[in-house]
Amino acid sequence: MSIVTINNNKVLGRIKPVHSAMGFISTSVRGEIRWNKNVLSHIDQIGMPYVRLNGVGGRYGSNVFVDVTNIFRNFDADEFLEESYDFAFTDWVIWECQLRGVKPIFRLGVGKEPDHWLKYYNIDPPKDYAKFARICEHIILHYNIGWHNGFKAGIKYWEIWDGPDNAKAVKDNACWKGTKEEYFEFYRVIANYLSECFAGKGWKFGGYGATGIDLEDKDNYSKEFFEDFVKYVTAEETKAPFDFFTWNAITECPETNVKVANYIRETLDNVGLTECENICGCWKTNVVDPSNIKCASVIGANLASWQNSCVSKAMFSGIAAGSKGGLFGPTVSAAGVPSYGYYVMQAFNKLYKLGFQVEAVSDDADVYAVAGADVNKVSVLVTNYSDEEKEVALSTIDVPKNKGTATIIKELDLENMTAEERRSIAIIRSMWIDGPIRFKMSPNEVRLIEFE
Amino acid sequence: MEKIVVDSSVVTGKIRPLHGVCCVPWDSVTEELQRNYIKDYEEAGVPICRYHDQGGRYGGGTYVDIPNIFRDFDADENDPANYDFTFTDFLVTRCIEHGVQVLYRLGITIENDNFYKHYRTDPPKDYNKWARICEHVIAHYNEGWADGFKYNILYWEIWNEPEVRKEFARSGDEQMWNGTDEQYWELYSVAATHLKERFPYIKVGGYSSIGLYQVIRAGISPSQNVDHSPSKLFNCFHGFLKYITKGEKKVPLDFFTWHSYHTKPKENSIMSVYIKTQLARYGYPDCENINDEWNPNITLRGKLQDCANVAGNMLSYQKNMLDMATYYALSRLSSNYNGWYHPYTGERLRTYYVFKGFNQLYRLGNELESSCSNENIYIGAAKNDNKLCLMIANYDGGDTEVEVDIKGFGATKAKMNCIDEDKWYDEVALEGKDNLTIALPKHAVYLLSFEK
Repeated sequence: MSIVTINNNKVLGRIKPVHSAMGFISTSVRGEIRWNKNVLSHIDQIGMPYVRLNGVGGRYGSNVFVDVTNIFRNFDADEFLEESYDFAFTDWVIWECQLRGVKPIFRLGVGKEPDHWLKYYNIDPPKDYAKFARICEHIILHYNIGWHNGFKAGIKYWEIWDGPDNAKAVKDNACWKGTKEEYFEFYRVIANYLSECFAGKGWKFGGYGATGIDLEDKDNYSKEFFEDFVKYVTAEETKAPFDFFTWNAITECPETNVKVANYIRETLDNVGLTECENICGCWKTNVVDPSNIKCASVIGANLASWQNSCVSKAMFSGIAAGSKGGLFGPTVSAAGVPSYGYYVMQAFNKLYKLGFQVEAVSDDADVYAVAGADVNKVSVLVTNYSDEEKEVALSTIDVPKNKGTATIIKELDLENMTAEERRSIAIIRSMWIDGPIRFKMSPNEVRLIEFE
Repeated sequence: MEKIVVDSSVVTGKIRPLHGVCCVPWDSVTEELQRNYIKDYEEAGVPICRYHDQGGRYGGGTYVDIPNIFRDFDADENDPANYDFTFTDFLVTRCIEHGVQVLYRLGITIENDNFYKHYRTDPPKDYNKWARICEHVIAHYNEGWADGFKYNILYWEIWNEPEVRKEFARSGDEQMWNGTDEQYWELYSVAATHLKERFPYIKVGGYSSIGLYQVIRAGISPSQNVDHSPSKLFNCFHGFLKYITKGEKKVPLDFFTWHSYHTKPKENSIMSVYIKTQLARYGYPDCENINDEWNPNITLRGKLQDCANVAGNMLSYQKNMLDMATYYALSRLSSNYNGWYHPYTGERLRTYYVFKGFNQLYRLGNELESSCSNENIYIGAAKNDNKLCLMIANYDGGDTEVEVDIKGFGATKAKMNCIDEDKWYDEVALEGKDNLTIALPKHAVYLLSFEK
């Protein structure tokens, strides 16, 4: 028997936006506007409080989205002229974000080029850092001040490049064809320029989508890069604002991710960056097929883990239609057909809407629990992060027990299903609960129990 | 009990390359080198691959499309430095080296979001220059120009679906061509004439008509002298042929390409016969009739019925004047059109084996006279000196039994490769004789092989 104890008297803080996303669910303007596919309306269900705009549109940003090289196509053009910019498709993304209450983390830079070894296009260090900074300035002006038929979107987070630590040897690096020191200097120039331009606005400048901090590897380049970077931006002669640090999780294992998060927090604090936000900018499951129930437990366990960790936000990268291990699928035409992970996100979003985290402790390392509460309601998300059945009991302290519902995300009953039906989405059942709460959890099941 | 009769003494023609495909399922060269999808093409004997919509939006920025190869239209088209062949070289070489010929579409990828903003769908501003650019692309792949190759690629298609907006009520939906019909016809005339003069050995053609569905809807027979109807697509077809034959010298048209989606074998065959007949009527009796985008039903991806649909169409095309077909499409696993591969794992689906089975007929070469008592069961047979194959597609014949009568062959060995609910091209032994009875389940596709 696994016991989960929920103590409504112990408020731990707020439920964090750890069910945020990297990328965008859909990049089909036609699909949304002309065909009313409404794929993006799923954001209302799963929450997605923040979206990190990296990888939008895939390879080279589909030549039209977000990347600085897609917005300002000719580097030699006049960066003060409106006609030098192509905001069209990125505007659509930002417009949709505004419509749905999603806050962007705007990555100023370019996407990874996996085929860089054959030929690369955009990942050289910009030939003029100061000019690049001015280009970024105009992008921010467009989205936050309204320049060039722009927006007043109030985008708070501006991320400088992505993944410059992708590989130690320049020839192997798919994100930055320069040295580590060149990136540091690049960051210094851009961050200082932008923070001066927009002083007093309360906007944050940071980076850099670290690609692979691995604490088990003593020669890990990404770790070395990070430690040298934070020393650089805090040194007197090379000081630069560093308001948030974004990094990619290299594993789906919650424990490992927490260790990395703790190491990052400690490293930032040791150099005096105590106010620098610690953001996991990309995490994902290793499960390929979203119709595999294991997606649910990986996502559920990690959400609970992120909430209890020192990160301020976490961004799941499987939200685009057709993503492996994602929330939808399986194809572009099935975009908007939810899979197991979707329902887990939806369940966590209910905790997020309650606002406060209260203590939920599990005595079983394979059973993850996270609880949210407001004045009238307490809800707990329980995940069986194992391939075995678990018997679980909830022990509650000062939790309303007038009535409650359980939403169960588990694999379909296999006995009466064909292979094709089995590949269908999760079954969702709501049922009233009363009395002592004990239940059997199927392998990889996730369950949301709501008391009021 | 149904009856199939094959007369091994009557050769009716050659089995034609109807098992071609559009595109390859990778955007990233790195991914292909890891996965080696081209081996699947080789095993299935794919005779030809058409490059259109390769790499996603805007051709992934690096593949096939003229603006991806010749990036600055105002540059000198005679200077190799102004061409970027890198990624297209890999794509073409990969196919050619594995025995897959190329049907190269000179033009652009469809812009589904054209109504929002378009980039490349305007008519080229200088048709003669555009033709010269295409000339250099051909010279690169066939004559070694600019560190090129001598691949002897024969099929060069001019643009794609220029009439795509014609049937739609909304303006601004010109996803392939923002000009008028006449402007496209003129582009075709200029380019085809130029390229055929420069390279007399190649085949030039177009224009990837969206489809002549009006022929089916209105029951227009091939012998009817109708060149105008309520359908703009239909009128565009006749308008094109009139335009290119209006001068003293006909514009070269070595092949005509068209498309069909969600149509039954009978319907496709009606269109095929109509088109072939009309081509002859306009003075192009030797013009190849090519359906270079077809897919009977994308919602059946992965299902047995898809196999029967695809096989039924191929076998019907063989008997109805179609010279070549390329199935749409194998671009990207997440594409709903990709009937070969599982969207997440990349494993083969059953429809893959239909192509492999049809290839057995193709390799034997000599099409034999054959008939079936049930018009909803499609068949095709071929032989060489020692071997005879019969392909049976139970398109809509229900669960049934079939008596197979091979006249005058003298088989001593026989086997059957089965695609049905339980088998994925599995081999089953048969009695080695010319006359036998087999069970034929609903939607099954069977390939019977006989040897002397």
